[in-house]
Amino acid sequence: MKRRGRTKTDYSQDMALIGSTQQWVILAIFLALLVILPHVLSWTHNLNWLTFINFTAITIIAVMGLNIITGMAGQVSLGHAAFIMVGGYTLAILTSNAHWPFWVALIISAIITAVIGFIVAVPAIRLKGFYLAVVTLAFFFIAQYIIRSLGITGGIHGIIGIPYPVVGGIKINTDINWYYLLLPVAIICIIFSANLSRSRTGRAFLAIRDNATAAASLGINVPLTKLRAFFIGTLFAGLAGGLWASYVSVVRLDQFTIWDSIWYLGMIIIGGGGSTAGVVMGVIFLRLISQILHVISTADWMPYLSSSIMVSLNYGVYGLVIVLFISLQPYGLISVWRKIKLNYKRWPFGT
Amino acid sequence: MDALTVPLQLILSGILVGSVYGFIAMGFVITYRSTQVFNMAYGQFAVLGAFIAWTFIGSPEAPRLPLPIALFLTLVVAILLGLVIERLFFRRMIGRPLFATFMLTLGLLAILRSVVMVAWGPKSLALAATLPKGPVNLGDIVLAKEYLWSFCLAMVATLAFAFFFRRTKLGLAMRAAYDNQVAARCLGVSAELNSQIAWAMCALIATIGGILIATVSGVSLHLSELVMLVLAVVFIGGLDSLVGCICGGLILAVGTTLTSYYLNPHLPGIATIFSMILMLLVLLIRPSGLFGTKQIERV
Repeated sequence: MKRRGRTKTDYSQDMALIGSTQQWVILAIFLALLVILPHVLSWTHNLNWLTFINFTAITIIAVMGLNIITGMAGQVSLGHAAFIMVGGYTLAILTSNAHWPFWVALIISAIITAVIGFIVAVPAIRLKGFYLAVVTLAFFFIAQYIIRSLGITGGIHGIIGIPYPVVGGIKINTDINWYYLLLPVAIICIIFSANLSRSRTGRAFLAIRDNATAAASLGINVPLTKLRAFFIGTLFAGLAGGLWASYVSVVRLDQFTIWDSIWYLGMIIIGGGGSTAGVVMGVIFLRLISQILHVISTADWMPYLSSSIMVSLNYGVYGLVIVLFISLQPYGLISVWRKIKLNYKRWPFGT
Repeated sequence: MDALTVPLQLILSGILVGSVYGFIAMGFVITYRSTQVFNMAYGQFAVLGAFIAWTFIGSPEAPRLPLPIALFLTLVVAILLGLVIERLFFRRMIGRPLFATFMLTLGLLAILRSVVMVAWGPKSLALAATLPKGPVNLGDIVLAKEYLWSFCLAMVATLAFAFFFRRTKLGLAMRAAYDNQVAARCLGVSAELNSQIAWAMCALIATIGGILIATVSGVSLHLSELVMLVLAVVFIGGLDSLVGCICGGLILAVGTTLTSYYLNPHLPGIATIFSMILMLLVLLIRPSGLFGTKQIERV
């Protein structure tokens, strides 16, 4: 009988992200496909999908941050959109008002967002569950108010004309160029997050999520770990916000709504809380649904639907998908994937 | 007399509005106390209820019914809606982890919002005069008549619900189920019935509250911003205390009117987040709220 699956002979192989030569080969092929993807798309004259992929990449970075706070460390944060907004506005102010170079501004805005996340977390970590969620929600509204009232943020009109980055002489102002900028950044974030979940800090996060008292009894400094989770998570959010601001070249208050926070949480639930691959799946799934809805509603064979119906359909379908997943597949797409893999490994013996 | 008039007017109008907030928050607390569900979609219940009321009362195609009948019909529809939602969404979540149910209410929030938008459109509508309007003068203080009416109605409704919980057998059963669901079940209180009644009451109170507020500020999707006020009231007063709701509502409303009058010129718009700031302060200093029971961690 042919031996299926990989056998592990030592601890490092067990812990490795990419264990066997076969997996390396698959990864290499996959990355090669990703690299040539934009050229395939432009050859089929379908560049809308490239915009969609770029936005999805930014969303993946943002939700990865939320996954660290909520999926891994169990701290429900409804204010994530506010942190993205802070990152975006900071980058906008630094690049378009103060004319800092892009990469410096991006890193600084991510760090500033993380510091603000840290400050917000200090009182928040005393609370549990719903209380924490509502505190982050309150922070969201307060952040909106502060940004609306400050002069340098342009009030309700926001900041326009944010310059695009220039990397080594190449101007990043087309979708293809943005794709080649966002792809490595997203991949680095995914690798970082996957490694984080295997590291000591990541295991501390998971321990707090499952049982904070037991974690404390094991010597984990629970408040400090929660602060770390918020710091790293909001760092990702600030990064995503800065990239967003530069990609769209405009930041306005109404781009960041409480609904975005809710959808991000939904993506984590649909993908499967706590796992990096799950986040990617969840983000792609929900954004794909939105894109498909958009394509269907603007197709020629559909009767004309007003834009408000379109928007409300989006809410409704998203809400329905979230509800269905919570009721039927609470562990998310990643659990479905793992079951499929397990069945394949054990075929024909099944579960 | 002049120096006192302005604060007194602010405080009185705050009390009037705050009692309505407190009444609305009661629906939230009742749901939480009975089913331990943190219903983030509560604002949308109110919006839906207000739009249903509009369909019966204010819309051009509405049948010409006398006002009490139309209101009664609205409330019946609201109760049915609560029962349907409970059966569809929350019955299967009994016994599931609380975070999952919380996320479910967020999903429900989106679904309800889209239902309202598709059915009635995103425009603001006016609820025909269900309450007499016009100013009432008490000396130098001017109060709006519709606020006085909402205050009275909210007080009557609050007393009715308080009576239900204190004196009737069903209310006692619900309180018992909150304290210890398993023990209550042993004594014959079924969790399903409890859940049904809780959600029906939630929809009912949300609808009444939605109507009360809509008569003043119109029926629109913005009513769902109510949920932030409700959350603030609930946390200030205590998550499981009905008395706390009323007090929280009063404190919040009086505080908002005072800040909006005195601080708005200096910090424009601060009244809109006053509720958030107050809620944050209470959560940081005394998380269980003014009247809530303190959570004791058993390790």
